[in-house]
Amino acid sequence: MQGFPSSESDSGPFSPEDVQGLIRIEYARAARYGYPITLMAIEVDRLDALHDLYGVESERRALAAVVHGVRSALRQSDFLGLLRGRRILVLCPHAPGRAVSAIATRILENCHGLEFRSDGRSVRPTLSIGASTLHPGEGLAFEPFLAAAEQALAFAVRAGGDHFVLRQTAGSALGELRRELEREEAALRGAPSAREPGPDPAAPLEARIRALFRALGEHSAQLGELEQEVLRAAGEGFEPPREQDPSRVARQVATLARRIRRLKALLDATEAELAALARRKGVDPGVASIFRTVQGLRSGQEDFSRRHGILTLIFEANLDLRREREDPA
Amino acid sequence: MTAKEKEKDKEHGVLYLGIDLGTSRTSVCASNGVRETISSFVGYPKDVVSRKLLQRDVLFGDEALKHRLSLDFYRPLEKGVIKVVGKDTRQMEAAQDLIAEIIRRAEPRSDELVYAVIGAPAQASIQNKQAIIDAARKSVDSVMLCSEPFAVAYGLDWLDDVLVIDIGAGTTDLCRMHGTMPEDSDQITNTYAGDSIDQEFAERIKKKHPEAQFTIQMVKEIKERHAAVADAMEQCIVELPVKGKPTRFDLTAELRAACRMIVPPIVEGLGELVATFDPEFQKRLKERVLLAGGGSQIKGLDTAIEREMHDRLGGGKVIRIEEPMYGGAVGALKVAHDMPAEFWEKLK
Repeated sequence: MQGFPSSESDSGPFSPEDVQGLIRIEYARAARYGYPITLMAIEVDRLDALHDLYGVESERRALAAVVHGVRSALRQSDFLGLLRGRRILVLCPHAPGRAVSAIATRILENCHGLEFRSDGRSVRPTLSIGASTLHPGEGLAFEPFLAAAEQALAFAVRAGGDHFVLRQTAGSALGELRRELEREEAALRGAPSAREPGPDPAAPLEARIRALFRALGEHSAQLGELEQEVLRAAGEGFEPPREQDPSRVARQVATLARRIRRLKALLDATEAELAALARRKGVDPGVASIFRTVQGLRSGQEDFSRRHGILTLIFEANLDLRREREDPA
Repeated sequence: MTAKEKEKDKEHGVLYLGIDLGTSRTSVCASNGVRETISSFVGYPKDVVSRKLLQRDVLFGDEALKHRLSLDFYRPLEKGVIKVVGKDTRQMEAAQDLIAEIIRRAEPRSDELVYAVIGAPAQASIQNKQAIIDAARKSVDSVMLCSEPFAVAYGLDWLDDVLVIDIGAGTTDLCRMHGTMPEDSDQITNTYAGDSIDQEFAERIKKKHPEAQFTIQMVKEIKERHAAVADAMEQCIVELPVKGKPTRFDLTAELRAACRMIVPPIVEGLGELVATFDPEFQKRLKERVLLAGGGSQIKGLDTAIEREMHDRLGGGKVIRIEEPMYGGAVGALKVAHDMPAEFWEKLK
């Protein structure tokens, strides 16, 4: 796939459909051999305006300059294609999140240096880049992977352009979290336990996670698995500290705080994912009430008995109304 | 999903709704912080062409009013209750749709129980109350009615020795609060309210300016913008068409006279409620008169009622509530919140 045509005007053999096909093949290969890949969707900011202001020739020149700039920022192993709609796709095998950030920064910097003249005027194009990363074992289908990159691109465009957004799916955020937890668990293993287990600190978080997933109603097996993974990660994150040495305890507290932050980020990502899914399904999730349970007057409340009496009268009047409706005789 | 499963699924929150179902406006306050109000209008596209144009099967509120010429247009409430005309079910269906819409606008989540208290006019008939409950039942898990003026007083924690005046579009409700649930003898409803002001205003305009062209809706809009009863009220100068040409009219005197029309019946009703109260507490009752409802926005109305009370009852103090549009809905929400769980369960 190297030597990929840099634009449709090139006489290369690949049509835009072929571009997608080849990316799909590379995606399948990454899933099979278990290495991370990242897909970047790139757009030249305000290209339509460029077309309208300076004509199609300027647009082509800008696009060609940008494709050249992008290509020069990529590694030998990365693939580049141009789709209809003037969208550039870049597939970066063996590129986890951090590596992608470096590549995207290089692309943006390269583009900052671009300048061409049209009708005697200087034009400096800028780019919006959206990316999504697939980690080994995530089992994410190709379409959501592509959709996540497109979504990230939309965020970047909405942010005003000249911007890079890495969209972490809940699955990939979970994967990163799991790896981090494993590293930290390994570092902490071996410390003697000296504390009695207290009440389960993870319980409220678990309840929130379950509520979040239940809010969507019926969901797919994939979401069910995701829920279990999130719950497992939350449980692992709350293992009690094993020793009393102040410095170790402080370190563990810091670790736990970091995990909580990560879990919160994960929950936010899950919430966003669920909301997006609900939107796609056309489900309005609504606004949650501030009450989880039925309230009612508190017995210690001032003038409780009088208010209770009034409310009882209202209830009885409604009960009578109901009886009359059910049995008019 | 079976009904039982759905019920089980709805254990993750309780959304309380307080609804003020009014002839002119319907408002909701919810325990998720949402507050919404819509004009009590419902419209259904007349034919396929208008449905295609409007791209909806049913329109509500001001949007329905705007497109009323392309719609089968309903104002399903009259004098504070659902219009029931023989076997014609269309008004009832429109009322059901209106209640469903106001509940939808409260944005309930599918996994929450929805418990609603709806304010009904103080002296609504049993048939009318049942019609309101039937209309609401489709959209909520449990529903109760309570007297509108009582809800206003409950919302403000004014439960002892208070007279409430709730001026709506269809009715003006007067209610005497004396520490317990008001009985029938504590409540008076009359029809000198927003709609009757509109009618009176329209007749006065017609009489003085027969050349002016207008509809009752235009009259209502003028009233809502300029209504006042004070002698020194701001001038009400508006443009109305005369043979198609916009022409300026000064309607200050007509509007003032129409608005003042509701004051004597209100004070007469207050007088009845005061006179039949324990003489020891009559003075206190007159000093605690709450003015609520959309009609309370008429400028200077509190002072006009006080003046009339002074002439007829020897004095009185009228306090206008801070939120005329939401006073009833806020009170109904508070009733819903305070209602014990077992009561809600029994009415499911």
